Amino acid sequence: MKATVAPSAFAVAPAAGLAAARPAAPRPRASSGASLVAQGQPMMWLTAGTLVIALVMTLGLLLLILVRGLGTFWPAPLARFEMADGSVHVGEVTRRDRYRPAARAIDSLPAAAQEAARELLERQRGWSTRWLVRTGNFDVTGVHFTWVDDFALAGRSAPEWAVIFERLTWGRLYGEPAAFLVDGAATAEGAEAAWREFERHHPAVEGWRAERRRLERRDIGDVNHRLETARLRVREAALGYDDARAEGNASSIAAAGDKLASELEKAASVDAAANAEYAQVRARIDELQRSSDRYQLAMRLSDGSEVLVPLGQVVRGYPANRLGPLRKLGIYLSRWAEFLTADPREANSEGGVFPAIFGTVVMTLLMSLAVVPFGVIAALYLREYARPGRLVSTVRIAINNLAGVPSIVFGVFGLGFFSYLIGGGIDELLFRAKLPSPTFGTGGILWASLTLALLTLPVVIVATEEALAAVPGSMREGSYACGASKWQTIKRIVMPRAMPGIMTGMILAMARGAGEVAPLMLVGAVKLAPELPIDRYFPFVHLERSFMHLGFHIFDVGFQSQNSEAAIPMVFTSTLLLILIVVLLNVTAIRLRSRLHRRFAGSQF
Amino acid sequence: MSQPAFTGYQRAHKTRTGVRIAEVASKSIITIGGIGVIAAVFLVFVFLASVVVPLVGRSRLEPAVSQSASGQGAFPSAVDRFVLVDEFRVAAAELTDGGRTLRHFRIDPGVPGGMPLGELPLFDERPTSLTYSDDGGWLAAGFADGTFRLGQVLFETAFFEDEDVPAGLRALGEGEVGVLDGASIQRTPIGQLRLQRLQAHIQDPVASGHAGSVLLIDQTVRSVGPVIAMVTDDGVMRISAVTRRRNILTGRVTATVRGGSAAVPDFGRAVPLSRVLVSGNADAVYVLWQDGAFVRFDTRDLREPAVAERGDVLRNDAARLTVARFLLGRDTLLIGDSRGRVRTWFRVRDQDAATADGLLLVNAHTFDGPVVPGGPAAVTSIGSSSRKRMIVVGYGDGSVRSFYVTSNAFLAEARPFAGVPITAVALSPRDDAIAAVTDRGFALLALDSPHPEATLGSIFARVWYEGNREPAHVWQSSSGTDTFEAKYGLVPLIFGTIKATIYSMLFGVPLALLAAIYTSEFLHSRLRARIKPIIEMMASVPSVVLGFLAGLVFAPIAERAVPMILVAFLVIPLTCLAGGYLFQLLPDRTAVILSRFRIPFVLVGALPLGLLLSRLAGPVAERALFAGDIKLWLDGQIGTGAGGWAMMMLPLTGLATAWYVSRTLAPRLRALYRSLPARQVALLEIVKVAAAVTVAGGAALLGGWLLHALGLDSRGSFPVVGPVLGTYVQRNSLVVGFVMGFAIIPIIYTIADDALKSVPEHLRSASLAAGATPWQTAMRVIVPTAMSGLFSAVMIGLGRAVGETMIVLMAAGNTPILEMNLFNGFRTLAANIAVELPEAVVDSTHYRILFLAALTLFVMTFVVNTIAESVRQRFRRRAFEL
Repeated sequence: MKATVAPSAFAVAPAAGLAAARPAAPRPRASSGASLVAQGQPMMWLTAGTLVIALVMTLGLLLLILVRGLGTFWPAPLARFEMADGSVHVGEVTRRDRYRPAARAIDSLPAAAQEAARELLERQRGWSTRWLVRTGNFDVTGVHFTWVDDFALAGRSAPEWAVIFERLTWGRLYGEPAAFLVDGAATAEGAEAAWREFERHHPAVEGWRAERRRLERRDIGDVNHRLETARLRVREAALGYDDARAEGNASSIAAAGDKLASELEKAASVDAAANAEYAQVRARIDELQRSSDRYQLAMRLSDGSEVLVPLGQVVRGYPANRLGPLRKLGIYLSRWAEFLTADPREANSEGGVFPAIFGTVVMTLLMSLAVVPFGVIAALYLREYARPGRLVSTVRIAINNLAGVPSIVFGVFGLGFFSYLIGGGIDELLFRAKLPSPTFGTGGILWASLTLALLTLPVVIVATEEALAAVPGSMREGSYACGASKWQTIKRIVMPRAMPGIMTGMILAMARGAGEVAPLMLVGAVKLAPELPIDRYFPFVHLERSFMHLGFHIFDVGFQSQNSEAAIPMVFTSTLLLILIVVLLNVTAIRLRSRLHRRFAGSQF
Repeated sequence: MSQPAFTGYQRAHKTRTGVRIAEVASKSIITIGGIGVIAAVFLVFVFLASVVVPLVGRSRLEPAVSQSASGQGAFPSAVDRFVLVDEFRVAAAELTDGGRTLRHFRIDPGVPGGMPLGELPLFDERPTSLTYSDDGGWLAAGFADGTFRLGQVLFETAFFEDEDVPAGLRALGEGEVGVLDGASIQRTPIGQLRLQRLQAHIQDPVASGHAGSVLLIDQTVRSVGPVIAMVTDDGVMRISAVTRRRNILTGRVTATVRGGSAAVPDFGRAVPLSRVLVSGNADAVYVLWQDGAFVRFDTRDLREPAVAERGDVLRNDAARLTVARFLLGRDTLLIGDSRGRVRTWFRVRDQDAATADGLLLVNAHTFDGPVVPGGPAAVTSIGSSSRKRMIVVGYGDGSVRSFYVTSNAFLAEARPFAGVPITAVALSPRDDAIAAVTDRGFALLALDSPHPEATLGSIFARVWYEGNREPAHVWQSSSGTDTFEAKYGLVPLIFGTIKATIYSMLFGVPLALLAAIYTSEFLHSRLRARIKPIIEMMASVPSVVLGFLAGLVFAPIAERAVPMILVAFLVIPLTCLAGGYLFQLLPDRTAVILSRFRIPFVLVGALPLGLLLSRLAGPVAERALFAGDIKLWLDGQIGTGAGGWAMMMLPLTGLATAWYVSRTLAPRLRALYRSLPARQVALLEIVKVAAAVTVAGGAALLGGWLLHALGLDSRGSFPVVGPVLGTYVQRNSLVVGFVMGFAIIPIIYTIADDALKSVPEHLRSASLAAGATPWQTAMRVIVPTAMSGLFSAVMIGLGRAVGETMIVLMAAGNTPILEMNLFNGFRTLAANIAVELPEAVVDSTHYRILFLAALTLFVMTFVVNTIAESVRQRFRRRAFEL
């Protein structure tokens, strides 16, 4: 007990405390200072801190996506900002932000407002709040968004009759209805009356638009398809004729010539019929166009000018500040419905993502069709048939490692091998009529699925092997003892037990495949693919087509769109959708796996 | 089954045929299928390699056609003797008759000995000087009367159907060649007939402005018209831009000449003049003598040429200059000499240059020729490709060599004429053949050199590109201009990959490993079952989502909070530690109860407090270290380097202090602590750590100030890694490091946690029973045992970071730079492939190099993963044995 020689560096230790401790001669062990240090509390707190950070980041990220993704479609109120320089902005506030404005910003204000602005900034210690306002009206103003500074603001209000229009082109329009026009003559003046007229007529116009769209897509699509088929047949016959001529056999030349002539004749008749039908459909479309063009709404914009909005241009319109909660919910749900079922508009930044959802699902299904049988066969071979030894364990390590090979490498392989080599070969053999434009010789949903199948093969093999290994040897031996053959044992005893594991592997593979984007950029995911890989035309499944993918959609809209500020909310929604798909698949897999583990606990490392 | 049972009993039942068939069928299907699938997987590697291999293939040069021909006669030395071949290698033409006539002849394999097609007269007079450019066929000739004429020589192509040609030509098969009034006609693969007619469009004479002879002439053709440089016999260099205008009414063409002149210094030297050369955009004119001396005129202002530089392109040796011409793009001089060397010279900007315009001519490459008995053969002619920076050189001994200039590569060599000097040599328009002419005949050599620009050296080593001061690693695969040269140096991309990996590992690895240690050792198993799946779920979040968040959400936020983020990396661990130190002050009983709530305490206490403190301390640190505005500071506009040094030294001084405390101070304190009650020890510990933090911080500040006082700026460039602190770019390594670290945390965490959990339970129990605390057990028993498992977890995380594509593509800015700057972006191999492969032409050099990038990635990750996997296997075996 030499408390008196405490190092002087720690002189802050209360000497009185030391003195008081001295009489309590046999101290209880638990309170020894050395054992306190041994507990390593600070380091435990540090490690706990890292775990908490990892958790918070994970949950925070999911929460961010959830909130922003779900919030995108909720109709925001409209605000009217009157600026000190006399300009007016009407729009939705999308973001607020604090910053330190430069002195120049105030100097640019009108002289009368400068004093007040300086005062405000002084009060806020040099900080200013600014709002990013989506002001729309791109066709008139040339901008989608405007920053509004608090020191430059003269007044802010919520105009009752401000209306949002989502239009087919030019993005959103914000303004107040002034008059409703039929055939160019005003039938209603004033905001309320004009709006009532709008609501009365818009559903009908909307119906006409839907019909027009159906005509354009289905009927004209049919006509085009017939024309294209006829053209291809003629081209094919012409190629056959050329081949025959090159061979130089007189009889085959004559046969090919006859075929070409008959195809030409058929094509001519198809042409005539198609043109007649086209004219008919066109006439109907023009009629619909004329009837919807009759209705227009005169809108007064924030700068006081008036524009005429044809009702046929309006996808959705609502007076944002007059909505009750139920109406808001209605608009919210209708936007979700549009998002999930409609085609994209405006360079993918508006409308829906149906083709992307469809593409993702079809691609993932095709991929699992390819990967599961091959993966299971490979795993069965490695686990049940191959003689265990150094070679098999090397192969196993190699396959395991393939799971860690970057996905872009598989994309490179897919492009070079599937698209260019195999696809190019198929084109040469079967689709000469379409050359030089490639059919299979470029990225497509089949090549994308096969590429991802190769990418996810290790996942399936490893999971299946694990599941096979988890089946206790005693069960196999029991089966053999009953006289079953090896295949019977595998089919009846091993496979049923391993099924949950195989399912886990498949689901994990699907989750990985659905979320993978890098290889798809090389082998077939595109910005816009109006033709779905499955449609009404023979042979119904078009595996050569390129497709849209949710993940690629996120990349494209977020980083390659002209109006990315307006697209960000949309990207959040797509992200939410993608994450939901992937997380759902993963959660299913994890639950399956834990059930499997419980059932065969202890039989595995 | 037919084998006898091991019991020795005779089996009562026969196996049914169906079962037997199923048995055989299943076995063969599974075996074949299984081996097939495994083989298919390895096909990936084989296929990638098969695309890459042709890159390094050797070039071949083989004789295709050789003809003997009439002699070319005597030429003035200032006349460029040239030969040209059409695009399809059907016909060729050479200059004869002292420069007055083109001889035109067939060179297709159909007429092995050659077949004349006629002669095309160019001029009536003999030119005194003549220049011809392979790139466009532009011709300029000067005459003894002081005039010059411009023109163009080329093969013009027309297509015919069978009906339009004489009957005799209709029988031509695919690829066969006929003759239609003096021009070659060939059947194309799609059945048309292609006529190629040699045409010479020679314009009317233009007066040079001097009545005497034009000694030397050269021409460059810009988009606005040609520029001519001449040396006339009065010792004046004249440069003139020629514009031609056609009068709409009379149809007469008048040429207007505008330009200036300057006296050639030392015109009267004993050594004869060799050539005058004018650069591609007419901003420089070179006058060269046969001993290698040159004068460079600065002609950026055509009216006022001025001497800018003088020197010796043969570097003062005794050789004589034999050939001088330009490489594609007319910027690089190719100088051939009597010792068989070809040197390339181009202008670079150099601050120290003593020249008038700050440019200096430098010698970048030197290519050696063949050595024959009696010394090296002289260079007698040089041809330059019209598409690549490839040259072909003819020598005095009758041999021909081809080189690729930028990659400094010798491609191939042949000797079509033994002992006869090659008087003219040219590459065919598609670079697939070399035409060589001697006084004895003509030879066509087939050149097979698909990727001359790519050698291992040009891909992985520094390359000296035109106009650069020195060799450098550059990746730049495309550009807007025609004469642009693609630069395929993979090093910046590999550097970017390593940079991304380092920064993300710096953030991700400590976090993941410490979190795994806490999860496996100190977390209640019920909580563990909840928390682990959440973090594992993070692994399944598609990287495109992380990339989107990084690029569009975090990057703008980070831009506004750089100081806070930097401070947070220090403060948040400190507040967590502080929580532990304060916790030690609690009485034992309370501590035992409360230690169950450590996670909630951190969640609602230490972490928010850390964030708050960082937010408060951020601006303070910015003022103290970075002169109040970190972005301007990083840009080098304000402040001194001291703050940056302090920031970089803090991790070092922190580690040093921690090491000192744990190695030297702690053992001494332990003796003291043994005699003290817990509460006092807890207080002492707080004092200790506060002192340590102060010492570390102070040392960092002091070190920073010292380095600054030594005159070093932390924003400067370091060897190998370039600047570490530099200009701020919105999409930068800080953001990518954070988000990609985030992406690799789950995988490292999961594998590390599994490794720690699989340390046998009896080791843990034994350690605890021997009186060790859980912390001591974890640090001294569990972690060392699981070390190889932890190592493999880190390696697998590393493999993931190396190949990650989408995050980098979306958040790293994708600029291929060679600097470690934390606040600038980079371009990785993977992102580069994603960006460029869709646009690369199949089987082009670019395509193959991108495949090489993919193969590099494949091999890198495969090796890293194999190491990790075998370490893990060994660890598993060892864990079982324990």
